[in-house]
Amino acid sequence: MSEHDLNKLLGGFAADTLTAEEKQQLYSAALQDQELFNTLANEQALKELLADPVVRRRLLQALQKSSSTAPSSPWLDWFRRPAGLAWAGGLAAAFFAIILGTRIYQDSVKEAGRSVATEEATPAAAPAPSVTKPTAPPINEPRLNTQDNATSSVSPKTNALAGKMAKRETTAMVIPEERRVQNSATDSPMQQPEQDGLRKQTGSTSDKRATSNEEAPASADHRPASAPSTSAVTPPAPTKVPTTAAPTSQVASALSARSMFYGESAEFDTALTAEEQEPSQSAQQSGRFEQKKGALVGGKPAKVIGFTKPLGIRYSLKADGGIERPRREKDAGAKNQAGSIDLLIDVNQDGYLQVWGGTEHLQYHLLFPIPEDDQLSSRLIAHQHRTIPVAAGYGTIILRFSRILFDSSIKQAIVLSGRSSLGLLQESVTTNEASGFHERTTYVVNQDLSVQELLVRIPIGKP
Amino acid sequence: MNRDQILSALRERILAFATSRVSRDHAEDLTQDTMAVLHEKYPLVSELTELVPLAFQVLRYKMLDAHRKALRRGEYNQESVEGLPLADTGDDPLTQLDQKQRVDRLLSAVAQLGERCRELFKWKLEGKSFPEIQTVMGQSSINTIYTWDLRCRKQLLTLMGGSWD
Repeated sequence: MSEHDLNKLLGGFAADTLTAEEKQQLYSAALQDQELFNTLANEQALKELLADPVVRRRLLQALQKSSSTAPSSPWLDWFRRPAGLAWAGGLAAAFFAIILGTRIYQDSVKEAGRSVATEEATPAAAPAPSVTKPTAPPINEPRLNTQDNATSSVSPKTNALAGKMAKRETTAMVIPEERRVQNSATDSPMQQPEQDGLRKQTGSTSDKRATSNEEAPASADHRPASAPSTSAVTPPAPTKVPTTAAPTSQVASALSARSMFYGESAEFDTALTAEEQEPSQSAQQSGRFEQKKGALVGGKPAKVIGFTKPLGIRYSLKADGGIERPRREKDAGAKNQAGSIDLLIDVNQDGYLQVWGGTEHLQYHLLFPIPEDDQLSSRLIAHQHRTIPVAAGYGTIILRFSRILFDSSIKQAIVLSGRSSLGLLQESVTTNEASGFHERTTYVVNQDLSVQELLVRIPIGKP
Repeated sequence: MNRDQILSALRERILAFATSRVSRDHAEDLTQDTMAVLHEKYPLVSELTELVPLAFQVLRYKMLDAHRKALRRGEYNQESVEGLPLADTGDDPLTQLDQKQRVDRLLSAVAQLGERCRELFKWKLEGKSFPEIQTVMGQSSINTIYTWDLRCRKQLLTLMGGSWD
């Protein structure tokens, strides 16, 4: 024991509780160290005091009384120690760091998922889709009045249902006016409470399959039937354009191309399988997409078949390095008068892409990947945006997206063969930027899960 | 160390300590008186662990006697001898009061100690040695007990005003 540590024995000297060894060490050191000797001499007063049995008894009584009045728990003692406090503080800091990190990570993941949706500036408080409207307003009625009627005629309960749909799909899905008129005509016998109207919309699948071909020609120049607010300067609502007569178009009435593009695979499979297996039963169920998410449909487990996700492409056209051109009403694609066009492509799963271009005079030829690279296709990662410049002058652009690598023997012939686009579901969403420019983003999804390839024709409109 | 070596070392230390408290002449007298007591009254005490504390005790008594004698002689305040109390074999009231005040201060200071210090002090008053206290407090190292005791003693000394007297 060093001389410094011998000072610690002073307490035992006063209380006369030192062991023989400790005494030997302390007194030997005191004879060598004057400072320690002085300290011991000063401690002699306390030693005399504590040597008095009366004083000792009084002190013990006082200490026992204080200890009995303030019982200490082991936990409190543990927390009073510096090491305990350090441990508790460290654990608390680590706990909060984990919680905070997890939240930040979740927020970042959510933000990444919503980034595409938020850039399209969808109105937050979208009204119920027009499919829930019990009465159809006159076709020639001004648009503003139509919105007022729709807003005022929808009951709060229906608004709540519609709010859920809007929340699920983040954008209000509005069908074209013609289709709304037809729906109101076919649904006119079913003048029921509004909440039933929503169920009937997806429930009457067999009726609508017959009329789906009539709805198919609905062109892309449909004006939005409703807007999320009554303001005259309200940006145009997203327009869902069913371009093909899909056999499962009734599913599309509940599942937009955009929701299928971003939707989780299990949900979609379950919905489709349930719809195909038990159409009558699902017709009695709610038309909301959320109610089809469960793994059990009507008490039976839904079968998940084939590929887990439908093929989907999201594309938009921009002119001159991202400067968005003003929107034209009758524009199915985009035409750049000055220079090249940037084709922005996003896919919902990993796959291979080809871009073909054709003019009135030239046959289709491969634009992407560049033919000089001796590659027939370029691999795309899901939800990674890709910008492909397209030279001016093309009348039509064809996108080929496939899960499997393109065969070298299949080249131009397939593109020119004009493959059927049955099963394709397309939806265009127009963004209203603050600057007044509009950007149209189109979602194309093939509802048939067994299809390995998705073919999208993009006509470049003329000015 | 034999008795003579211990006494020689003790004399040196006692003189240095006394010099720090009183004048050199008085310190020499105190040291001589203390050594005389150790030589004459305790010739059989030869162990270091007995001789050193005995020397501390004798030295303290001698210093208190010298203090009283100086007080009695009016060395601090020149008062007439008639005003001084008569000698008593027991503790005089001043000593008793001083003792009582010291005990009160000690009780008050102990009451202000922390829980651990009170426990430690209690076990020391109960006669437990440091190794025994180490066992009671469940500490793996006795140095922990030494350190706690040193801190508690310093805290107690501070609460008592910086002096045990």
